[in-house]
Amino acid sequence: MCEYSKDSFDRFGDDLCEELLSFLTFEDRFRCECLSKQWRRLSQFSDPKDYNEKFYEYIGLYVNLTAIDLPFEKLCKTPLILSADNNAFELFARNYGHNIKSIEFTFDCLIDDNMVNKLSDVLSQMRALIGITLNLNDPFIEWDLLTQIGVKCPQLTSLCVQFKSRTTIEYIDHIMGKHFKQLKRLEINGLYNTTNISNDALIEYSESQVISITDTFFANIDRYLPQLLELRLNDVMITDEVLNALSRLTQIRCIQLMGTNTCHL
Amino acid sequence: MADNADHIDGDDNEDVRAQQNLIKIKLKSSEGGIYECGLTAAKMSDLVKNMVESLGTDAVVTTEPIILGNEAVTDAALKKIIEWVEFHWDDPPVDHDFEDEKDRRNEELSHWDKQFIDVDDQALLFDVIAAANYMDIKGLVEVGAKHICSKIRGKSCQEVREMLKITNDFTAEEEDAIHKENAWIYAKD
Repeated sequence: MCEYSKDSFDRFGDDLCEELLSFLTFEDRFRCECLSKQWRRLSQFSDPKDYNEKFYEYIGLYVNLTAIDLPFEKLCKTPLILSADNNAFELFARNYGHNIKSIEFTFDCLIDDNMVNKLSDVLSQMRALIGITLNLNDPFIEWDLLTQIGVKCPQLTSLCVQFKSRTTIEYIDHIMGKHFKQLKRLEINGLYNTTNISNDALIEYSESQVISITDTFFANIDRYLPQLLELRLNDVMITDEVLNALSRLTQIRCIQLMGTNTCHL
Repeated sequence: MADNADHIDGDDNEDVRAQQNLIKIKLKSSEGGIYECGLTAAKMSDLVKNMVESLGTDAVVTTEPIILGNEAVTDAALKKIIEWVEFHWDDPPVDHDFEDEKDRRNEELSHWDKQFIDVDDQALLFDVIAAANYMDIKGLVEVGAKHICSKIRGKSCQEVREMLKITNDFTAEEEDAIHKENAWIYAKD
């Protein structure tokens, strides 16, 4: 240690240096890789065993029809393209995915079965992954995506689903009844977001169906998701039955329910 | 710091901790200076904690100074460290639930910690961090890490290198190669 000046960062050994660098942001880490051989060595992402899993806890990916963008605008001019003849996301996951604990997707357009399979396969190979956030637009394919993720990533402890448009919840019962047994945190937003739909669409939407499905889900919630610590849902009919059902969640620490504001009451 | 009234750590409850902190022990720096420190505060250092526990009786602990031989533990660094542990010894313990861990890592430093760690003399700052690491005071190492990382934020390689006095041991070609390799992720720089 004494060969280095006391006010030089070079004095720190690898262990301490790595600990100090673990608090850098994603962006700064990449930029600082070229500072010195020590920094470069401690910034290597290739070997997950040597690599401190604290890094890359969070990465967001933005998906539209054919592209995934890292949302770090300053960092990334080149989008990662996700399409049938391109495996950019697979490469990304293979190189950087070992330590990623949570990931966020935004879908602006329809995705097809092939992409659902590909995406869920890649996610299943990300061993450290415990949390997924999905910002969804298309109800049908994406329920399928959710099912696929449920099958392939049973280790998930955190799931957040946001719907941008009106969708159905026919499958939520089905999906939660079979998959996501390890979930500690569940957030579902915009199940029947009424702001963007016409009156005709509202009428077409069967009120009784909504309530009965919600009731089934709640009635079984303690069996579906026994580990749940945190639950956030909106547009829920808050009834005694719902509250009774929630009281059976033994681990729960945080519940946030937004009541329905319009047609269901 | 958040309140955590629920917490009782075995027999180490708050009253006992407060009482034990009235017991003063002596810490000796690598430069020979001897400084007093409350027992509970000093035990925030895992190194000191293990030494105290292996010594056994309070009588020995309060008379004989604990020698901290690492050269980073200068008089000035040890005084800073004692100031930090004496302020933080009654903090609620860290909750290891993964989400709390993540929040904690992302949490900004408290005003007190910011003022504490904002040391103009970089040699002293690095002594404090290295000494905290040697003494195994995780919370203080974290404060130092967050401080350094906040200073790095947004700076270019060259600026960081100058600030932290890091020797560039790459050849120009090697540095170029790294830039090329990461070209997909660089937007500027």
